[in-house]
Amino acid sequence: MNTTQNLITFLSRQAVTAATPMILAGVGELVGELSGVINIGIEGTMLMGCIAAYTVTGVTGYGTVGLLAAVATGMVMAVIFAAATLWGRADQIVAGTAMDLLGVGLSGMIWMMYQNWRENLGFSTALPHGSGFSPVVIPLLHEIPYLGPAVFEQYMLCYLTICLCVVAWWTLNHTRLGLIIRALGDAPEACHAAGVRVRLGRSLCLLFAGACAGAAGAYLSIMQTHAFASDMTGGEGFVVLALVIFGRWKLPGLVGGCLFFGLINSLQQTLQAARYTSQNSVLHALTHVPFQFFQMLPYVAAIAALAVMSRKSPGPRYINIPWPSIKT
Amino acid sequence: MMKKLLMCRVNPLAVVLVFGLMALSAATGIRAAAVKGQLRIALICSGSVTDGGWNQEGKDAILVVKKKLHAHVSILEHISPVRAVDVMRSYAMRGYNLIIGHGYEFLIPASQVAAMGGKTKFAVSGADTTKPGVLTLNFDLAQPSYQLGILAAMLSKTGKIGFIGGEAIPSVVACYRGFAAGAKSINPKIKVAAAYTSWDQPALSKSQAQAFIQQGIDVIYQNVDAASRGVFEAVAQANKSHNSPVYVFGSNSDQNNNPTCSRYTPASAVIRLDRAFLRVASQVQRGTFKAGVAPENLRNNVCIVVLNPKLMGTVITPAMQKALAKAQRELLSGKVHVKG
Repeated sequence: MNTTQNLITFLSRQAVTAATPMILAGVGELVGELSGVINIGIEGTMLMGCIAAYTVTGVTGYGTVGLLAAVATGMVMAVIFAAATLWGRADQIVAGTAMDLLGVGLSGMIWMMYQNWRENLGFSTALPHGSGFSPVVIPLLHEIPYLGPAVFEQYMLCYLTICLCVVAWWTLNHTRLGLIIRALGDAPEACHAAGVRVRLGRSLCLLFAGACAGAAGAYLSIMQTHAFASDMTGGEGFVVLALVIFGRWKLPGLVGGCLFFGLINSLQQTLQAARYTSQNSVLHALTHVPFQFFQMLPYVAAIAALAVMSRKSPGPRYINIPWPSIKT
Repeated sequence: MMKKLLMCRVNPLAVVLVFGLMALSAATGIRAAAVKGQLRIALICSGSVTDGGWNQEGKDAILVVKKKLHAHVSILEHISPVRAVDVMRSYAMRGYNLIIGHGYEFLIPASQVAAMGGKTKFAVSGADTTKPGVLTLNFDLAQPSYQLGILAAMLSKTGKIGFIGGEAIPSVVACYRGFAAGAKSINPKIKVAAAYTSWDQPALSKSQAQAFIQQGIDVIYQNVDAASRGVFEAVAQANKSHNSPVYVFGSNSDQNNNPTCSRYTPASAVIRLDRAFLRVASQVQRGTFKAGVAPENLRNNVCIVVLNPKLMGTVITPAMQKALAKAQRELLSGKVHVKG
């Protein structure tokens, strides 16, 4: 491979790796929002997924068990949120903020307790050797130029995310279930008249969203880094919220937005390195540019795209409106 | 009455909020009851004491002080500079003898509370200037970073090395400066890249390290606290697929024994916070505490390079050890000066 091909391959692979947890959490959030519920506490749920996956993998030595624990934890968070918003009629934005705070605080507390407990027992807090996930190379397919290493040298959850996206897109656009989910957010009265239990339907969508966010957290802690740190999601949950809007509540738009964000991020990181190491005079001139400029690029790109793409965004009509709308 | 109570609706949102606040409060405070007449010390951290770096080192150091001086210790984490004034004032009102703001961001809050008077003494770690009534511990990690730069230049096969910091604050930028100066003292043509990511996002620091490695950088010096695990992971992965080795240096604490890639971590620039905190606490106990700037460096054995003993003689050759020893002599004699 020549240098340019190497670079393109590297950037694409990094973009897919960085986009995977955002796509995973985003698919769940999209389904939840389409059903009429916005959960801005997705960041907290992801953090809970991170800590659940890390601690359970650390104790059991099995990454798969850790992943399942993260999914279950995400669902528990979703149950609390659903109880507050759907059954308790709390404002979704306020309850989402509380869920975010809960996730941040609780994950930090569990991490502290876990460290103390492991140290008292004389064990390391690092994951047992081989328990975390490593990238899985798909034979033959990974040899496809450019696309191969980018898509087929990824973590197991990335492949599952691709499958999930296909299934979710098909379900939302071509099945009765998809029609019901969208109707829950656009015309809950019609759903009710057709005999669909609106709150139950929305609760199930939230459960799915929680499972996805939990799994996205597991991706960060036991796949991508084999580490846990307080606040390790670094605002990714909020980026996901923006990207759902950027994608105009459509799955291809969401996936495109996540990949775009991941690509710009890997590009800016590569530029930060290349400006010092490259012989190219243009790149070398960038050494005078403050590093903050590079760091803001993915966010500026996301905001610009949001401004352009979401002008006529038809969001779900009944988002953040409790059901039944008027008490009788 | 009982029926009324049972029928009373509990707002689930309130339950969520209460649990959230309980979790937050539980996560941010470590306290123990004090005995009368005991030295009472408060440590205030801006981040989590489980970050595997700066704040965790602070917690470990203050626990050493607690053990050695039988002091009562209170640790508060996740305190922003805005909240710090109230927190410090509260400790001062409760009669704490020493309040340590762990990070230069606490300098102004500490000086504001110190100006209110009282018997409480204030120290701030990681700042290079001081304010009235405050003792600042000026950790000069630039000196050990200079030594790491020498080691990096001798280890690098590509002539490209890199530095990843959590944030471009003066103490971290000083590490980069020292590192670059040390490397250029061995190889003036060496290329030294720098990038700043985050203190607590291992995924971000990992992808930054991967970008460095992709650009041919084969020695990385990181100062990113909890996010260091991401850099170690990137280096471990690179060494699985690269023909020539990629090395990483630790910082703040001795990270040579990290479980991810200790075979590729030849050295760490270490701040022996316990020594600095113990000295300050002892001064408070003896009544000899004085405000001002306390230089903490190679000379008083607080900021040092710790080499990985497992790599001595293999990765770290005798020539490298000799060069490091020479650099140390020059730094101590003042022949070489690194801007901190």
